[in-house]
Amino acid sequence: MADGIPTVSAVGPPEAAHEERLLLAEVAAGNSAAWGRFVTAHRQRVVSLAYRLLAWPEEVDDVVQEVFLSALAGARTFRGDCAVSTWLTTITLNECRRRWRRRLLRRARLAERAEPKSRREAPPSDTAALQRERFQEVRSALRRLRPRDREMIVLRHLEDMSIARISDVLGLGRSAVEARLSRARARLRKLLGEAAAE
Amino acid sequence: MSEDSIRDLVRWADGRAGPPPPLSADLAGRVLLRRRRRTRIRVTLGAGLCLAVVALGGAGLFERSKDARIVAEQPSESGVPRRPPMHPAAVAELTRLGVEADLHTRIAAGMSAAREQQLRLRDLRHRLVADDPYEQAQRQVDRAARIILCRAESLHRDHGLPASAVAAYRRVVELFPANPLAEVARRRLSELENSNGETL
Repeated sequence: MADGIPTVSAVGPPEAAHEERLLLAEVAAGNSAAWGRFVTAHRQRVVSLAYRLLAWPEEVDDVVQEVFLSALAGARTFRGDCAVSTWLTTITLNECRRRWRRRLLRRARLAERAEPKSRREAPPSDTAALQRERFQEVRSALRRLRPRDREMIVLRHLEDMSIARISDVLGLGRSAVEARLSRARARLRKLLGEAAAE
Repeated sequence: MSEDSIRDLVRWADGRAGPPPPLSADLAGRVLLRRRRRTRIRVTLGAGLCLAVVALGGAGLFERSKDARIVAEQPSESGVPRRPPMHPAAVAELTRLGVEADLHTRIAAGMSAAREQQLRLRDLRHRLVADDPYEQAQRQVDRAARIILCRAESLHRDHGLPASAVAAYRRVVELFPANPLAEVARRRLSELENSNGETL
């Protein structure tokens, strides 16, 4: 696992889950102190997840604000069917999908088209340069994946979520999650293979 | 490339990407600010839309009456231009629409101002409450009551121990009788006692 980046897989003991729900109820009632506590409690996990779902962009400030804005707007309608952290993870996924659709995908594709030739003219000479290039290949492959495939890879391999928890977050059946995960891996493998062959 | 090697590669890249970029300070405050700004924009757009609808309605009426006015402005047989005949119903409708547009604009502005004032008041109230030692102590009491209540709910729902849950609910009622959570505990107690009366 990446150093120092927290994952969203921990739900915590039942008491903590109740505490979270009560805190969210206070947020829904308009308590700004509770809102501050809620943001402090969840910001790190939201930031980390958004950072990974958007394939390590330069900034995530805006998307994180949007996630919390959606949470604030939806606090009143939270039914308590799942843990607050699961609910917040779903909001983050939706916001990242929206973001990806709107802006990043278009930008990434333009960058992909503009990037390769000039960069490959001079082959890297040392280990650091090779590693940098490999990282760019992985990032580029992840960015070229469809958002739903990327989510699978991130949730399973970077956030270390179990299949059961992924199916909770995405509202899918277990077998559907397994099938999607397998497809996502195959697509990523293909993209990485293409990058290596170029 | 195997499944493990894909996982390792993605994890390696994640490690290499480093930690997420730092966020600017006071995230909670900035989210609230963003919400306020959006509300204001929505209200303004709503008012603008109302005005546009009213203006379009007015323009439609004007267009309809234009032809009649052109005919009317042609000199009569005596050479004196006719007075443009504006249908009284159209005049009344235009006046009504104008008044309605003014009213909508004023209501929208009033709503926006009231909403802002409400949010400012709420912030001030919370700031005042946060500084008051009595309120701080009260919050600690609330928190303690909430923790015991959560524990009781957990014992009942997650661990299936209704007897222990009843004891915990009673504890909330005894220790914090005036707290609103005591009312919740009483309700839960009566529910539990109703459902499991013979065993408890």
